[in-house]
Amino acid sequence: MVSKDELKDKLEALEEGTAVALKVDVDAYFEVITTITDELIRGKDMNVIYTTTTIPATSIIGVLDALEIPRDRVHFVDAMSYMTMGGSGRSSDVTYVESPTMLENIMLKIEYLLRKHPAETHTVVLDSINSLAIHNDMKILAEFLHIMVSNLRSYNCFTLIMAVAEQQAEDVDNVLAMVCDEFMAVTS
Amino acid sequence: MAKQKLSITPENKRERCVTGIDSLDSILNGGVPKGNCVLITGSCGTGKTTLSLEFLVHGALDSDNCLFISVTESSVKMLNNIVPYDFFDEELIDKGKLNFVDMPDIYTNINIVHKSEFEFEDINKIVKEIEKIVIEKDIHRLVMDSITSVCFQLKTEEKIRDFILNLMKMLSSHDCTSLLVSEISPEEPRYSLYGVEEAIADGIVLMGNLERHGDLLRTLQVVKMRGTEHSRAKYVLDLTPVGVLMVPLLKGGAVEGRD
Repeated sequence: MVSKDELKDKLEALEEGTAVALKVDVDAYFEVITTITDELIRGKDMNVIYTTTTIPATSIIGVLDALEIPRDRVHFVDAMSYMTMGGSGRSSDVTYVESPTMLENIMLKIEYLLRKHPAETHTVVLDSINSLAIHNDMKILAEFLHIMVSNLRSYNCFTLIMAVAEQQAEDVDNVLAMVCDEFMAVTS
Repeated sequence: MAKQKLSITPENKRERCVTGIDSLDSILNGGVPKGNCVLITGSCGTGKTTLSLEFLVHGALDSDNCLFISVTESSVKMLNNIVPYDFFDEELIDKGKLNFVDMPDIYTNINIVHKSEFEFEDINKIVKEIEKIVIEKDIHRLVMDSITSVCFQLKTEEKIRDFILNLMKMLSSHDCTSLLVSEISPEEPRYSLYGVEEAIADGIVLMGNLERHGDLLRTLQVVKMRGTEHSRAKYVLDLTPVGVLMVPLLKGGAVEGRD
């Protein structure tokens, strides 16, 4: 168990190319998201590719802006906004995927952003595994995670896979344990 | 004339034409074997033109002289609709590295523009006219988009075979690696409209639209490529400003049947 206050130090100690599963209590979820984004950009001097399959990217952008977290080095992949039929509008800062079931396209958009914004180190945040598990069966989800994490390792990326502790199924935990190097449970 | 000595070149020794599309070069074990004539086949909206044009742009950036022969639409219209590449440099056109020719202009030059059906002698004239450009501009990469539109005016299997064989032989003799775009309907049970093209070509790259639970994915599969070992798996592709990107098709979601 890691408290959200200890999380910064834990992130600081991680090496490039590492894949980490972060199982977060629902009460601490938004705070953890903003903490890690801030730490990765300012603390570890990384570019962040934030992949959201839970809420539209514009909502996360709103939170980061409210907390004055710089986001010029945050690039978003959004696989939710098309599903909500465009109610929240489109942003030029965001790369859209039509549906969270288009797992290959999520990988392709991440790769596109890695090439479009070359940097020494990138972090790819996948938020969240729970929402992907709603839209995809376990077989294809496990295959996706395996290929994506392996591919990101080849880019020396640091991968963070977010999970909401209260919604986590055992089979999803098993897949995360298989593909990730570290598994951290974060409490409020 | 002295008889040319026959020899076998090991696959890995054949010189490659690096497409510049990283994933495709990886699938092809280093690129298209130089001088090969490859059929890029698929239904509409699958990315055939974009992929072919990127092959030429990378070639031009790598100092090859390249030629795009546009058959179905004018080059100007085609360029206006293509994905704007980050790596595209208009100077490539100004400096003559990247050349565009519209097929109707070739037909006009050899006085066959008003013919509804071409004869064997017209086929020779077309190939010779293309050869003139290849020699004059020292072309080493060529795309014809699409060969199906030319075949419409050839009508018979014999003439189509004659045209493609002559074209391939000519291009290969000038060390020119070529992509011939072929249009097929999604239901087509073969890789080309007439069946002749696929049998003759050195390589077949099949591009498709795969529908999976209502999602439409663009796919690519190298079915055949003479002169190299290659993957025959299906990949999902995306047409982006940094070029064509590919990832393996996830098998957990594969559907039965042909896309």
